[in-house]
Amino acid sequence: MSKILLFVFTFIFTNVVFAQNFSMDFNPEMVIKYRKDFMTAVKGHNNDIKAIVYGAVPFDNHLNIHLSSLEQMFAEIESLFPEGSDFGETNAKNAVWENPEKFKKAIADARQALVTFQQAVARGDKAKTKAAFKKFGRSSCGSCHKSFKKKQN
Amino acid sequence: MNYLYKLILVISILPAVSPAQTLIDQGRYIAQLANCYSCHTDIENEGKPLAGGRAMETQFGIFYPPNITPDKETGIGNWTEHQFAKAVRSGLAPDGSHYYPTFPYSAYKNISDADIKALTAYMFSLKPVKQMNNNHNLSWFVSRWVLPIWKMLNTDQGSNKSDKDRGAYIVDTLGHCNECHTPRNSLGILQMEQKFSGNEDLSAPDISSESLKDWSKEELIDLFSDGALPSGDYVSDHMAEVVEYSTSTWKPADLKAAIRYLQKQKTN
Ligand code: HEC
Ligand code: HEC
Ligand code: HEC
Repeated sequence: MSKILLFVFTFIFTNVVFAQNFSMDFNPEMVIKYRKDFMTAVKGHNNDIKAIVYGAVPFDNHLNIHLSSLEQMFAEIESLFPEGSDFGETNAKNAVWENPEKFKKAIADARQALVTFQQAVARGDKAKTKAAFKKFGRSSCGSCHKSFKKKQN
Repeated sequence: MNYLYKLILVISILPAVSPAQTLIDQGRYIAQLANCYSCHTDIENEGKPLAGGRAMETQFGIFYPPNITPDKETGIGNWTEHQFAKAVRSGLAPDGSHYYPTFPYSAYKNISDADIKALTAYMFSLKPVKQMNNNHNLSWFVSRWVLPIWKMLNTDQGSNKSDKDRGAYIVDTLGHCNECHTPRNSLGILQMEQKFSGNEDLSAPDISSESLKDWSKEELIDLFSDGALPSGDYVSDHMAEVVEYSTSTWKPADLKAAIRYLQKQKTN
């Protein structure tokens, strides 16, 4: 009996924990800090991919960790720029909010560039993978920053 | 007979490129080195190439670089070659008035005659685009009559080594890198004694040889070809445009010459 009670109790309790909503009131400053940290993490994965495909480190087996992380993170970029997070400590250009269709296209292009790069990785030609990495950076990070990011001051 | 036959054979094998076409191709490349496209195209709104209309926000107000396609009504279709050269190298309009230095003619003044000739051939080979120019929207204290004085003060730019050093010619003259990377005083005059030490108002960093000495050649190539910075970030905004429309199109030998010049130039 007590075991059943304990089970029920635990069940309810854990459910409460999981159902808890972590988001507090919308705080634009925190959202901006979060997305910068998010982008810094994107940079980290990208740098590690570079180190691996350039043969600078012996972690070929990590390549998929970084690639699938970028894949998941690129899918979340749009949600990082909600209305009202366009002022303060941000280097995002107003165009993100003024030209949302173009911003969505930049995200779609970046995701496509990642797919193309993953295909190059899968083919396994070292020299071509290096070239594909450069092209990936230019047509994802570079292209979006050209239209949607200011230089930090 | 045999000779004639061979001649015809040789001619038919030669690529069908006329000297005029070659000149136009050379001119297109000069335009890329000088990045005319970036200012004269309303890129953000997918405007027609070189047809003007882009808003350039500056501390002096908003400039709208004009339509420079050879349209007779709204572009430069009625201009002579001489008038075009004068605009680009001296900042003078056909009616004798002075252009605002947002148009970087103070860098372009050392463009060689041969390059101006090719550039002209290219510009006038373009398809005319009918698109009216916008009037600039400038602060009250900015007007054309001060420009002759301003031009007299701002004579220092454009390397006089340009005619000997290909790298200097590309960086200082065609690439007009000083326009953003060299600081200006309150009148907007470039402070050439601090060449390439950066311009805070434009967030353009120091690119003097001193500050570039830790960059490997490979890193500089990655920057100018793909916009990649050594940190793993990618350049944004203005420099990203310079990379996309200009430096990434440079021929390898030109890129090498420019990098050599950047890394060895002397600052005081
Ligand atoms: C679809 C657009 C987009 C893509 C793709 C993108 N970024 Fe960004 N990135 C931005 C924007 C916008 C900002 C500015 C965010 C802010 O300041 O609020 C930014 C900021 C950054 C920052 C600065 C973070 C900080 O602390 O200020 C880094 C680093 C960065 N991105 C790296 C990358 C790299 C590396 C890639 C490619 C692997 C990439 N980004 C892909 C839009 C993008
Ligand atoms: C940094 C921006 C910028 C760049 C780069 C630039 N221009 Fe301009 N250009 C301008 C601006 C601004 C004006 C208008 C100046 C004024 O009204 O006083 C202008 C004016 C002109 C004019 C005069 C047009 C007219 O209708 O009077 C010509 C011709 C011209 N540019 C050609 C070129 C060519 C060719 C190149 C490349 C070699 C070039 N520009 C590069 C900003 C630029
Ligand atoms: C329209 C203004 C503009 C012009 C023209 C321009 N730059 Fe830049 N440049 C910038 C800005 C702004 C940055 C910072 C970009 C960023 O980090 O997002 C930059 C960054 C750089 C950097 C990286 C420096 C660092 O420490 O991160 C180098 C190198 C550079 N530029 C070289 C050049 C050269 C060479 C030219 C001429 C071909 C040139 N730039 C023309 C504005 C300009």
